[in-house]
Amino acid sequence: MSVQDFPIRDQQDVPIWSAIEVKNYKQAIKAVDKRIKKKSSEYLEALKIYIQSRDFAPATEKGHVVVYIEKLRSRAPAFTDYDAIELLDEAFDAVMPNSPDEWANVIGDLRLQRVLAKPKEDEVSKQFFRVCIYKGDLDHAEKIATALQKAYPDKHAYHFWSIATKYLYSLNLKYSEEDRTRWGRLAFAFIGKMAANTQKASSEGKLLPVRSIHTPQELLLLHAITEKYGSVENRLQYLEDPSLGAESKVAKGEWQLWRWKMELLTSSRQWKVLCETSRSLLGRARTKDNAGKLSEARYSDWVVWEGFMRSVKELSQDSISSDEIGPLRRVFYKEVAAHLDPSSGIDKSWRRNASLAKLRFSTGDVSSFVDLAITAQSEVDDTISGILQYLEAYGDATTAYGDLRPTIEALSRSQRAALLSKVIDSRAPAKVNKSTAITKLVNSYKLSYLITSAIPEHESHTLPTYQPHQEVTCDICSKPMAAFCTCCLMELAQAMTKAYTAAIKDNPDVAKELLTTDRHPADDLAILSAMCLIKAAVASDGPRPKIPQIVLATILLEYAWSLSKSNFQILLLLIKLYSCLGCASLAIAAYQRLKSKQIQKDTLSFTLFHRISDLHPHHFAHRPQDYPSGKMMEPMENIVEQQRYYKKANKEMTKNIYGCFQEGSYNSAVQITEAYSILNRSFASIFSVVESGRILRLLLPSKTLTPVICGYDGLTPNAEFHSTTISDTNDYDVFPNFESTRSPRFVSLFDFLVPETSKFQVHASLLSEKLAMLITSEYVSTAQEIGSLIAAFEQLPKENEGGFKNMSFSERITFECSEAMAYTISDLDAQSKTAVYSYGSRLCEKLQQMIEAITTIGEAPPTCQPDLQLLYMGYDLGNVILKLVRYINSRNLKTKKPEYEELATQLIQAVMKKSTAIKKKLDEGGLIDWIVDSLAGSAESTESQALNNAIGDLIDDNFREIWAGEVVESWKDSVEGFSYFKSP
Amino acid sequence: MTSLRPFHAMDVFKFNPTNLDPLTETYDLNFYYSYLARWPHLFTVAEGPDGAMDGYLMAKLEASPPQAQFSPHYLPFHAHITALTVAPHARRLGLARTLSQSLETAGDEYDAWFIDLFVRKSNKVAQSLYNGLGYSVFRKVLGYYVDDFSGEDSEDGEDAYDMRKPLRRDMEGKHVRKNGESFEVEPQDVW
Repeated sequence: MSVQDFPIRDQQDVPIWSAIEVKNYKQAIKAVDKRIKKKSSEYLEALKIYIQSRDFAPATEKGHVVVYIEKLRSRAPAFTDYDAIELLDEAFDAVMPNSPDEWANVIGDLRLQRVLAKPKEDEVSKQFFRVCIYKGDLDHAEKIATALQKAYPDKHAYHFWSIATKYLYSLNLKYSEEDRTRWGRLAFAFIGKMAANTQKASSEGKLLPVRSIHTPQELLLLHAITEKYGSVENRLQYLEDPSLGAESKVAKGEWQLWRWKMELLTSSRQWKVLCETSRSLLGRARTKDNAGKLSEARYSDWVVWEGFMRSVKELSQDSISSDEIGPLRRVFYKEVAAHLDPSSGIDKSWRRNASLAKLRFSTGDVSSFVDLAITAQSEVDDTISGILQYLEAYGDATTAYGDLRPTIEALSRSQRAALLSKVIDSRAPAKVNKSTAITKLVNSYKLSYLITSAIPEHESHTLPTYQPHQEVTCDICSKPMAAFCTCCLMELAQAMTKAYTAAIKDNPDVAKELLTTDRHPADDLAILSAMCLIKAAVASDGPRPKIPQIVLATILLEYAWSLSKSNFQILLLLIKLYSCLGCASLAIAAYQRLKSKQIQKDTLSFTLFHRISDLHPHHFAHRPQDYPSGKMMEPMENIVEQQRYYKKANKEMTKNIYGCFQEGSYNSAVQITEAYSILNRSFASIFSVVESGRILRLLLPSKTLTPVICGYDGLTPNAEFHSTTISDTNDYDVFPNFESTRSPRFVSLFDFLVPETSKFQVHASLLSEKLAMLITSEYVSTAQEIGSLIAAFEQLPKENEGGFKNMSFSERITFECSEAMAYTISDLDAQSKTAVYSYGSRLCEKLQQMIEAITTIGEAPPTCQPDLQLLYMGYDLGNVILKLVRYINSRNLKTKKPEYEELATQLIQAVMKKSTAIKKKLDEGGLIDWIVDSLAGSAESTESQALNNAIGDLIDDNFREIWAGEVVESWKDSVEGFSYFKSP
Repeated sequence: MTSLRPFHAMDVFKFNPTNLDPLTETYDLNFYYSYLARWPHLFTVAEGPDGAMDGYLMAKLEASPPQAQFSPHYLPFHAHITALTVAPHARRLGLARTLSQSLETAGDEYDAWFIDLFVRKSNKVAQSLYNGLGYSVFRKVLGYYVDDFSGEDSEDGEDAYDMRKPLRRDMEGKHVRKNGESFEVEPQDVW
């Protein structure tokens, strides 16, 4: 803040502000004291405090600032000078930055006092309301909104400000459950009154009063609040009311109200009403208005068709007599026919809904339709021909697969087999020369994959007798299989690689016509082929995947990406594959090619950065050959940028919450508040803190880590506690997924690398990290801090409660050792000599397990991510334990040397020995040849050799050799991180 | 399946299928949320199976500021498409048409004169789509886009076409013109 920001109230203030401008605070204090002596004022008092806060005086001076401002809260009459309050806010922020709770107690309260003292100055009150919203101080914001409402009872907006703020308060987890419920119920009561006023005025034919619902956003708020504190019946009553429902004047055609109506009629099983409503909407959707336009076309939305199908099905089963069923079903088909009529003028996207509804209705796979068995041969034929017709009509769009997948899943085995033969027969044997034809071909291969692999796998995995490593017979090829049928997968991979090769090589014009920003229509063939290879690799018996298959999948995708550089799904898979192979520089190159920014720093960081400290914590020296100029981002830089983003995003969100109040968009305010709460508690935000601690400890071992350096100041308080709500904002769905809709997503297969992030794992990792920071930084911990950590350890569900399910071996060992270390410190603080040994046996046991695991790591490349994690986490754990021993020694307890000191040293030595051996193997050379040979195949089995040959036909020697060189360079770059390992 | 719904603030956590596409810009949250605050009814999502985001349309209703009413570049009250994007997996289904028609309905309800939008000069696919929807080029904005996808690597950035479609209010077609490609304006002339 400067002279320009504050109005100069008096010429005599100029010297004060001039001194502030040049940071001559001594002079400024002198000048302000001189003015105060003559005639004191709120403004001058505040200005003096402001100057004191600017001056880098001792802490006592800063404390004085806070004490002074706190005293003002109880001053009577209240402090009312606007500029003075702004100055005090600035002063407070300077001495106590990032202290929202303290700010609310002191400045928020001061601002409220001013509003209450001068309630008729609504511009100032609104300004103060805005500031409280920005600061997340909903307590004072609500009180200010209520003061505005009371001072201006004729202003419609302030009534809603008051209700909406009460509701926002109820959503904010920082307030007590009791208070939140109280405010939520109050909001419910007040908005219910508003709704009643609207109904009353409408029924009496009067104008809407001030205290009633006037806009769609207010209606949406009514539903948001009623959803939480009211009942489904309440909401349905509103939706059916002529003055508040979807067709009311107030609703102004708000489509969301119709969506809710369909949803609530379904959940309350009002099939007759649902049937009538959906049928009426579908009829309107195809009816032209006076201008000859289909102005209500959007009523053929899929949710309406779903409602229609579901209600007809339910009515057919229970509610109507058997002679009514036939006519009702005919009504359905008549509606479908009317929508599909070429002369209807209905757009393609809406017609597609009718086609899909027809297919699903006839196969009975709508929601609980699956129980309708199809037995007659004629019906089987109808079903299959329906699927083929749909494929014929919409198969040139990628979505056809997703549309048909649930229908095919509802078929019996024999029906699927019949469909498969038809799908294979329908494939054009000759070359396909158009994008649309290629997409159709790709869809037919996807269906083959679904029928021969994805669905049978799901069925096998859900059998009560299923054991992941137990061999059973594959239903398709009758060969033995464990989790997946390697034989079927390899055959599919080979067929799809060949089809991909043909699509690429026989149709060079397709690629030529693509814009640089387009993806090639055949890409999904390469992706699916790579997916088959990855599954086959994971299906191996041992804990490690089969590397040759991972290598094949990677080069296939790398080649496909070279022809289709805008395909982000290929890049996402490459990030995972390169991580698996220990090629971090190639993984980060793929990540950076995604060009993720803004919110994507949160939603996509899990693909690489949640475990970057175990993969490649150090500087990237290797830059892939075709990588564009510009900097390769360092791991730590990315984390710092991510943490900076959260702070920026918080400001953007709170700013717009106030913007919503200004615009009367209360429902949007609720949504943004929910999003704000989720982003502030995201897994990614917590991992950024955990990873920064781990990286900094390795790269800068002598640096004293503090909570601020690691980014704890941006985290939600007590995030390590199991009781603290945290949110998973990781976008797993962006990965390609062609599995059965009932199976886990494909991306979860990469759990063999490091398990997918879970709530337990996030809490546990943060807890271990907090403890490690306390111990290694020799940060003076208090009994309270350790007590809090122990309470958090005790709160986490233990093994028998499924706690460790989503942790890798290294993470679990680290967590268990951290828990033992926390108890050790706690007992030490209680001056217990036995503390040194009480948890020693547990530590020793875990350390020995870690040492054993490290000795089993293979030395020949590649060193995969799980092995790298063992090395990095093992080294970190060893060092943390040695620091603990140093801490114990500093207490002069004169105890015997604990056994775990020796084991921690041995652990570090084991890490160093293994890492040296790995490095040596890498230096031996011949690796490029090894990779190229492995691409050519080892004739291990006929299927795999045929696949190697198919890939050989696609990718030329030059590409293979260059790529192999990149992989080797990346391995060399990865092991550079081992140079940070130092002997204890 | 095609299903439209209003954009929700939490959609920013799952819009990667559309926003990782190189032609779709990912802005800061301020951008999305300011639209959600001001024009929530014009921010529409096309949803696929399992709630996946197949596409979205961000739009606004506005006019040039009153002080500009005598400027040759003055824009009367109109709807503006800020972003219309369809995920690569959901193309060829007519979703862009469906989404833009939802805006036409809203534009007519609010009595707007026309809908306009900017498109890269190099983006022939989008131009052909909009032509098919009844849009035509009104003017060319020189160097409107800072980055250049045209392959010409121009230091001045890439030109944009300002395309328009008249709404019910503009019965006489007062706000559209033929050969709009030859009317060149500078970025500062555009609001």
